[in-house]
Amino acid sequence: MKHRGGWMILLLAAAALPRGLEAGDAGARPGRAWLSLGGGGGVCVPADKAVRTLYGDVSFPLHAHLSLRLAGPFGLIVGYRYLGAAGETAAVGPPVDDEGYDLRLRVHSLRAGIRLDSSLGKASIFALAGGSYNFYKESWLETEISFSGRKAGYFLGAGAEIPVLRFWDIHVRLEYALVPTGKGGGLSSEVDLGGLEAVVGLVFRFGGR
Amino acid sequence: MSRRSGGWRIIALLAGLAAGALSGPGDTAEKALIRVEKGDLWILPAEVLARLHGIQELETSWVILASDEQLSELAARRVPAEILDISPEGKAYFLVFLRSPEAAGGLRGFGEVRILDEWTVLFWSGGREAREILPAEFKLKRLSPEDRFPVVRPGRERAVSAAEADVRLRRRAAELIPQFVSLVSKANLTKNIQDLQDFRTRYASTAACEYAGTFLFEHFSSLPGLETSYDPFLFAGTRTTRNIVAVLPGKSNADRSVILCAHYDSTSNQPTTNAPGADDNASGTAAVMEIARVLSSYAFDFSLKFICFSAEEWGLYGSKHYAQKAKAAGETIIGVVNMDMIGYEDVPSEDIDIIVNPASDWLGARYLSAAERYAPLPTLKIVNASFRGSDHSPFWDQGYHALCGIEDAGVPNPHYHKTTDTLSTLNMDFVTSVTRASLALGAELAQPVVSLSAPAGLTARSQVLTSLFSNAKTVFLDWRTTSDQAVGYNVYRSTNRERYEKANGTLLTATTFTDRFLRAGSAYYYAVTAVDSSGRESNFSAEVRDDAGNRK
Repeated sequence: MKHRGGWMILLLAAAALPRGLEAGDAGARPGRAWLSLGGGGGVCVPADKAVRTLYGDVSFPLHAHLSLRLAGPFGLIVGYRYLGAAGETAAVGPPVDDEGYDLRLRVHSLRAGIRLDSSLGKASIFALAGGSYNFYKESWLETEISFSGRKAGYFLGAGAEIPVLRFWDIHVRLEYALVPTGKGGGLSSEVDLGGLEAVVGLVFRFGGR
Repeated sequence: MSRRSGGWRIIALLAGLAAGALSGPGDTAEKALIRVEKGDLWILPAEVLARLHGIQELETSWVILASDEQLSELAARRVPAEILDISPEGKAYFLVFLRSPEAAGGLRGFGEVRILDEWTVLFWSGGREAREILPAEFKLKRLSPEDRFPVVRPGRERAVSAAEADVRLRRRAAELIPQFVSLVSKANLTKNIQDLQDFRTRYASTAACEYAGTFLFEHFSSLPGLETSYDPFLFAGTRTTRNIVAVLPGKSNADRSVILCAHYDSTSNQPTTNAPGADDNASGTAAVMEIARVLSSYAFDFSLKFICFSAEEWGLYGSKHYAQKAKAAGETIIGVVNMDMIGYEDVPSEDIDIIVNPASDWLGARYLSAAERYAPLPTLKIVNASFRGSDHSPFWDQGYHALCGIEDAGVPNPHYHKTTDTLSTLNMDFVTSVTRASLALGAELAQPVVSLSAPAGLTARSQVLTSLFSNAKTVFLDWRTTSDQAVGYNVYRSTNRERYEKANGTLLTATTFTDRFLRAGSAYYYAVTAVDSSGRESNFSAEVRDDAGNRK
């Protein structure tokens, strides 16, 4: 149940891609290699309740990615994701005092995966899946308490790129990421820093369409 | 164990059937006295244990008053139970403590006997008082089905080391203890025993016993600083007698007390006319009198109570009355040091046996430590929850920590409960040494005050703050001052109750302190000291655990 969002994306992508392939590549021409560079912002709903409790129900990560179309529908994607969030400590059990500390969470993720492209009208639709390597640090502000770690994770998603100018596409995607840290605190023994995320951005496609 | 009759040990299935046959449907009256081995009890769920009506804990078993439903439940859970008696209403039950396992045979013919363990039997003869039936050689404890003690797995508190005792006392306070010890007078002890012996008998229910009580009252009343009172009670039906209670109020925490006690009544084979009871227990009483004389001139953080119990020989009536009352009043007792028979030396270089139950183990360890440091004498600590034949036992029943100091747990004194138990048979050097060791422990626990008294009312509340990956405990402390001379305070923290470190950087001027960023998974213990303008520091306050205030 925790990863329901990821499975939904996978199912949607699986349903959409064959139709796109049958539609005859009205968008990007199949088989032609291309390279694109994009960036955007996301709205993420953390999968872990502990993250939501401490940092709010949504967070706003930033993304940058480089996509390389290879042969046929297949391509590669590498990217970087940055999540910065502010929160406040929580009391375990009934609080006896209103004492609390501001928190700061920083997650830097390097990502790489495969991308499966198709077209739907002028738009390009795609599914992607890959792995991530995540560097995270949580700090209690104005104290010496902090915790940092590194952990591998996974992501999968689906989206579309809609051409708006010769070299530019609007990029939208929905993805689900898992970042199981294996560590935890008083609210969760094993925190997952991933979640369900909608990303919107712009893509510059080198060489145009 | 090997001596227990197999016929009495039947599984609870039979017990349940028997109880069912004895009662009608829906009859929930408690009607069977049973004995269940602790090893069998501890497999029961906590909610079942909580419903059991414990009458007496022994070393390996519990005596329980069980309803027919409970018997059936035990049977259903295949918990073996030995039925000791059915229909207990109107019966006067006694534990009888044997001088040897073979002595149980001497009880046959006087009434009903059930062997509980090697040294302890359950005895009754209808509603009659055992003291009036049995020969004087048998030590007694009255059991009351009205008592209800929780049947819980006993906790074993960690022994408190001498090092810990040191850290809680300021050095100058600790240095007072040898001075106290040196003031114990063998001549006074001898005189005290002689004076008590001179009443000819102190058998409870006689006028002479009451005269002895008055004598003790006057002794304590003559000592400055003591608040002395009678504590009258009924025993064995309509008989009356009195405990004598003398209190030296604590300077900072008067509501926490250390009890030094002994029973002053006696018995013998001619109890109403000739029961000198020099060893049993003028010796212990004399020690309490002398310790009170020495310590009443000094100030302590915690209260010291000097108590002489009556009607011990009838079944521990006086101490039971007092312990019940203390529990009902919510009294905080740090520890009870009971001295019973501390004068007869059957072999040269007699040792003092320190009897404790598992929960009081730490107190026994402290006694041994005090004896070693202040009054060298051979000591032997014995952990035995079945050793119930003296006034420490009702305190155990009520959940207090108590020890019994006795010359030999096996009671080899040939004059025991005889008219020959006189001063001339005692080794007064031994009495003096035991008195000194007991005084040292009592003083150590009550904490002598040298400069200013320790703060009082220390409370602690803690909460754990958490983030995704880190936890930190915060402890909120507050206390109150007990001395006008206090200009500041220090807070001491420990995770093991032995090594304390100062938690505050600079001297605190407020009576609150918040200790932050502690390990969430650790328990912390705190004590506070007061500091005067000359920098002199008080002893530690009463210690609290970090979450003690959370439970209130």
